[in-house]
Amino acid sequence: MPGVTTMSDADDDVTVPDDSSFGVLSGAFWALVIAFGLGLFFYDFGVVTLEEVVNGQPIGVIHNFRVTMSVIAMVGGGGFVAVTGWFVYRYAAPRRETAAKLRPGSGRYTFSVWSLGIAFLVLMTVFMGASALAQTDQAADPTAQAGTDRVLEMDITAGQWFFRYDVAGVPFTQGNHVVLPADTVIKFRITSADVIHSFAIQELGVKKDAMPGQVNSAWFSVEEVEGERTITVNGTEIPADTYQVTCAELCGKGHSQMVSQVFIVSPEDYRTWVEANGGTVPESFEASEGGHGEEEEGGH
Amino acid sequence: MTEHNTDVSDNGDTVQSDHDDDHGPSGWRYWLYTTDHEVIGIIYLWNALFFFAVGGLAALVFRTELALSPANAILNSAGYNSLLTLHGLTMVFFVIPPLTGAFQNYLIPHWVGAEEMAYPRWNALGAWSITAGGLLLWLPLFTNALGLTGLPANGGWFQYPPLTTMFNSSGIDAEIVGLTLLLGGGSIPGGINFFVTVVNERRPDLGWFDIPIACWAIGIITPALGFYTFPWVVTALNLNFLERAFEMTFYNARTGGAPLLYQWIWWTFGHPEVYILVIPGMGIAMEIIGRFSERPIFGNKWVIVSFATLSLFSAGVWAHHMFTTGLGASRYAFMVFSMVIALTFSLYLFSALATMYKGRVHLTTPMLFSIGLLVGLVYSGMEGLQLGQPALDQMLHSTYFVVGHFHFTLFMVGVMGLLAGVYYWYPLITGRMYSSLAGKYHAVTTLAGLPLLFFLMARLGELGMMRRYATYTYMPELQFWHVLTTGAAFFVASGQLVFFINMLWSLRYGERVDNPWEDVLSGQNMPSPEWDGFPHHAPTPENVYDEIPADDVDVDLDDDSGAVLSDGGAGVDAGGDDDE
Repeated sequence: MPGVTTMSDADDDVTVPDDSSFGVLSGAFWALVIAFGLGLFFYDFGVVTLEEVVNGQPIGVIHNFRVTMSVIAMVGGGGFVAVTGWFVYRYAAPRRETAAKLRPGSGRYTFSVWSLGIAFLVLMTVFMGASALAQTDQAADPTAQAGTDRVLEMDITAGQWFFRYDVAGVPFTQGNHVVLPADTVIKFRITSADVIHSFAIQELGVKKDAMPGQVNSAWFSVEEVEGERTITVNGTEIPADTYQVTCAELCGKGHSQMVSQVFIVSPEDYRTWVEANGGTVPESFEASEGGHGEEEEGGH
Repeated sequence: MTEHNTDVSDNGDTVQSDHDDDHGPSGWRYWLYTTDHEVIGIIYLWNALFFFAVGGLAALVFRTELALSPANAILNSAGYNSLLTLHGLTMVFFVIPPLTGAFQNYLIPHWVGAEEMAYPRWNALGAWSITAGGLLLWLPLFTNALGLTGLPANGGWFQYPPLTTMFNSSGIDAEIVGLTLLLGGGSIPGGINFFVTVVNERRPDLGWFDIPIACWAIGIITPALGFYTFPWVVTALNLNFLERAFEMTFYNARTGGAPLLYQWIWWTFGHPEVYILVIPGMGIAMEIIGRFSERPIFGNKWVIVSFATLSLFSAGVWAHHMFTTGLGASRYAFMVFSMVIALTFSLYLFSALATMYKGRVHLTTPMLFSIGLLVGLVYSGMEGLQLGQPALDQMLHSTYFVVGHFHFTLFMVGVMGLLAGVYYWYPLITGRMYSSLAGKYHAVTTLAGLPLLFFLMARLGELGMMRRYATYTYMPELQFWHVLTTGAAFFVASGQLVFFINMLWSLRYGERVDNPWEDVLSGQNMPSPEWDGFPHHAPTPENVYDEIPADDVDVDLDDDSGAVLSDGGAGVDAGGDDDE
């Protein structure tokens, strides 16, 4: 009698609210439920690895690192969930007579192996992460990272609920949109006029908080212009790409309307645009004109 | 309840029957004046379930709003922000901790063989501080609707100043007072109370490592983490209050304060808080996984080590919530700490899986929720590994990817484990059994629905949906994904609705039971004190088996072929592992 009552779980026995609800198939059923979630996991992490990204920085570094992390996640995390689902199917009570005994002390060896394995993975992510951060950081050398010598500086002031852009060489404050050159490191400083905001261009992997009383800085660059739209300067149309700017820190009721656009044009067109507006491009932009960025341009 | 009291008095020298005495107060006074830990546990439970429903309904309202139109549909933006904030605060402060508190109150004395809590009156105060705090949080919504006051709290659940300092509404003040009441009046003394009860009121014959694993998690680790972290948040909030009420300066940059100061204090609380929300569920799940796999917990002490180290580490990773605020080299340090936490979680996960390995897994409702917790922990962890990387955080921070991530953590780990606990101990608390079929429906909608809902959120984030956006007119093509997400939310909600109906219906009409798990678990020789009384020893192989499997004998000697049984006849006796 002892120890064997488990097999008598009758379906109609309400007081044994049990594994037998789906009979012998219950393990398979719940394994399928787990597999459904696992499929979504693979979809979400898999799509990341297949996505095409903009030619630019720091998104380039971020994307590559993210692909690696996603693969680790799919193998490690996905593997764990798959094993869990398998155990649910394989060891479900209706199909099993007994449980194997646990050997005392059996944990020491396996725990050590497991922990060392995980520690190795953690160490890998630490080193990869530190390297990725150094490459995207404002302290690093962005021009090397972006593969261009041109540099343009910009000041951003965020407020409820707007972004204001002041770009070096442009003799006026640009309103809610800003025109910027491709193949150039855009270094920006950002602060806030009131509450905390955050300047984000998702497509370029840029996000920096605008803190009142504090100036933060970061950089980004776009390699080339695909010309998905045009902007008109003195009656001439120049090809441009649009990048969506969003506010990434809750800043009051206008938060979700605090969006803006960055128009990226080629360096030549940028010069035309600045000069047409009575400005002069700064030296940092000028100096390296004819540098190695040149060959990528010119042909629109 | 009566049957249960007999259980307790059987256990040993102490007879506890205060609340059965006829001369006690009756009616509402019975509830209001009680200092009985079981009754207080039930008050916690009602509070938690009530706010779970309220917070969930709030979420459905703004999910519907998001699905209907990229622009404002039902709510204006300020109303959306308010509802979102109330949802977050409710779920974080008024659902998971009180649900944990229900088990802490009801079960800790039974787990450690104590007659009562160490400080019963403090305990009663804690119970009512939930109701009071919750009312203060939600009342401004109604007074605002009536035109009497400004909006309720609407600065997001972490309420960064100067937004919340500058925001001119009594809603924020009411919320700060409410949270202070809850945390200062309830959670901090409550945590001390639970901790002291386990340490001081424990039966002398119950060794530290004989304490059930769930009690380790919710009676020792969680309270300790709580009374370390809650003072931080009370400080952060009340400096804000002083600034609002008395024009003192802490966070306002214009008058010489630092907005970042708030974030340092807040997240020093905020990250360990996450672990306060998940460790109870993890402890409960481990207890359940062991029992329903018919195996002793694999590495009982290692799991305790895992809980202890992960709460220790949790106190050192807070700045990963602030990677975009302009931090410098400290990002490297906080990245390393954040990654290392994976190691401590992996100990837990490994132990859970190794416990199920070659076991005999009973897919009961509490077991399904416990398995769901394991899966949720992996999903949340895999997203967390990316968010803990400052380089990736630049892209993912403040998008719906984060929303998906922390919902995995809080719902599919924290709440999931506690729901497992509700299903497991409901018969113990009420003396009645619920409908298992309804429980299974709840399990399907939750196990399948939560990954659907939260991976859709993650996808939305990758596509460019920003967190806390009342509208998304900048990217109207996201509406398709929002409709799917809202559909998933309603699917999940249908399961929770069944859960509520099941619990309430069974309270009155459920079949009376003593111990519904008796049939499943008898013969395993793995008693647990709340069901079986004392003396109690940890379910380690040494204590569970009559004959200890020899070190050099392969564990596979027992039948683990998993053969499908052709008849319902008696199973093979596993070899002397039963002594009843």
